[in-house]
Amino acid sequence: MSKLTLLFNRTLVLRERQEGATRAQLWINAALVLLIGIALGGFALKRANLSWQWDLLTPYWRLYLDGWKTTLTLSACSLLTSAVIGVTLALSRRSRILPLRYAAVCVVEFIRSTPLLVQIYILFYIGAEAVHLENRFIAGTITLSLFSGAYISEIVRSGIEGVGKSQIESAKAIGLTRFQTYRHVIFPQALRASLPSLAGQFVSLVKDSSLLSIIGLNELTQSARNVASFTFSNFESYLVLAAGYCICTVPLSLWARGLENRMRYET
Amino acid sequence: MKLELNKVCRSFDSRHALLDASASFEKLQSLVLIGPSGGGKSTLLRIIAGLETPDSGSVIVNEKRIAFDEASLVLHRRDIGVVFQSFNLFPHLTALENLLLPLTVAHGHSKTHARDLALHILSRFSLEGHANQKPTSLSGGQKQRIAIARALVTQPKLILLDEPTSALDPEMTNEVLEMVDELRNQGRELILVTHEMAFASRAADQVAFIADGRILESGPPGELFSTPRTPQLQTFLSKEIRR
Ligand SMILES: Nc1ncnc2c1ncn2[C@@H]1O[C@H](COP(=O)(O)OP(=O)(O)O)[C@@H](O)[C@H]1O
Ligand SMILES: [Mg+2]
Repeated sequence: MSKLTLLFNRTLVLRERQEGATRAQLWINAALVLLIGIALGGFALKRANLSWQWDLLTPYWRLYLDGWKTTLTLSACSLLTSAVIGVTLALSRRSRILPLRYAAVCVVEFIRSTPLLVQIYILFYIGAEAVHLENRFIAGTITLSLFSGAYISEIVRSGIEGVGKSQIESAKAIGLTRFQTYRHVIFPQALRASLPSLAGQFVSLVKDSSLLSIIGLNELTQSARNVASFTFSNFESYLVLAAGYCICTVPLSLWARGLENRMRYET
Repeated sequence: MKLELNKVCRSFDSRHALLDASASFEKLQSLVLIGPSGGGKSTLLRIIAGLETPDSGSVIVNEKRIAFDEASLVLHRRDIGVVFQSFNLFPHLTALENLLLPLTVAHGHSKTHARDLALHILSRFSLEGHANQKPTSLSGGQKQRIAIARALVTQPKLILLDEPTSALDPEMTNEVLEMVDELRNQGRELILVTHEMAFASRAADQVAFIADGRILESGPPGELFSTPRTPQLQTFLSKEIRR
């Protein structure tokens, strides 16, 4: 083997038994990947014959900002409500009251097996109509919370089921009531075990909120669509859109990653 | 303690775990249950602990008949300390917090009072050095001793121990048995399931032999071990001695 291939291998490939990349490997390879990405993107742009027209967007910065704020509040509200709904559904599925249990099963399975788009239409054009709910923001929050709540309920449920029978038995044995057992023994452990998945679900929630633009909710995606139609600059408007979502989702993802790492060392 | 079992039955999927188990013990400090595995010892102990409900029959502990509805059971369980074979400490809590939980939540003691009680018990058994450790960082013997401390800390009238040394390495068995001995010397009332025959004959006021869901024999250990009446106990003893 020549010296050059050896050097290449040392830099690009982890050696056997090597746990993680060295600092030098990290920088060199990250830069390499970035360069390849830029090259591919530049090539595609050139072939697609696009010309940048960022200045067309600047008059509309307010529209973006308002949309972004709406997306942020919508996500934050839905995040809280979906957590409440998720826990309620998970507990209902374990309830000894059978109608409650079966209702929860039906709701969760329906939501998980149909597209969000369909649910938005059903809730907005039938549900909201039926109760004369005209506020799109509230209707949107409810839809998104139900959708995300169904997924959260499954995460919470597996977290709860991860707490062994023997622990529930010792909780009983020391004289805790059912409620006290949930509060002091089951929930703390279930929460710790499901936090990484929950954080991942919250990232999805933020992105899923973009579908609410179809009921005319003026969130970030709707803003981008409007700007695109005013300026005929699809590409630029949607790049701003992507950046707007990243600002919300990247911190959540990093948090999830951090939690996962910490869990690995704790147990 | 006074313990009275009247035709206690319990079956799982139409298989009997206990079938008309009856016995009566008076003025008793320590009762040891022995018998082949699958005979129904744990089931009986769990019924006395209020963790299992019999299909029929009655259990009377200290003049009080156990009522098997959930509300009464919660109160009953608070009067009894239970130690399981597999320790069953709460893994998300430190040793000290494991002791605080029954005190503050089940018995409603204030935090400071509970802390005093818990630390007192821990130091009494030289466990105070482990107070802030989580169960995962403790040895089997240490875990079991903390589990026993947790069962004691609420001053229960009766302590039930289900094979507290069976999941331990032999070298850790002694430290746990010594602790059980100490409980006895402190005058605590206890019911213990064990396969440690030497320990049983030393520590028991009365021994009950349970097989096939029945209490076949009971009596003081000296009598029971020297002159077993039923063939089941004779076989059981000869097997245990050969071990
Ligand atoms: N929760 C349960 N579900 C099904 N069967 C059980 C359960 N608990 C005990 N049994 C059965 O009851 C019988 C007695 O068990 P157990 O009381 O644990 O005996 P021992 O403690 O003397 O070994 C066994 O056949 C066991 O399989
Ligand atoms: Mg057993």
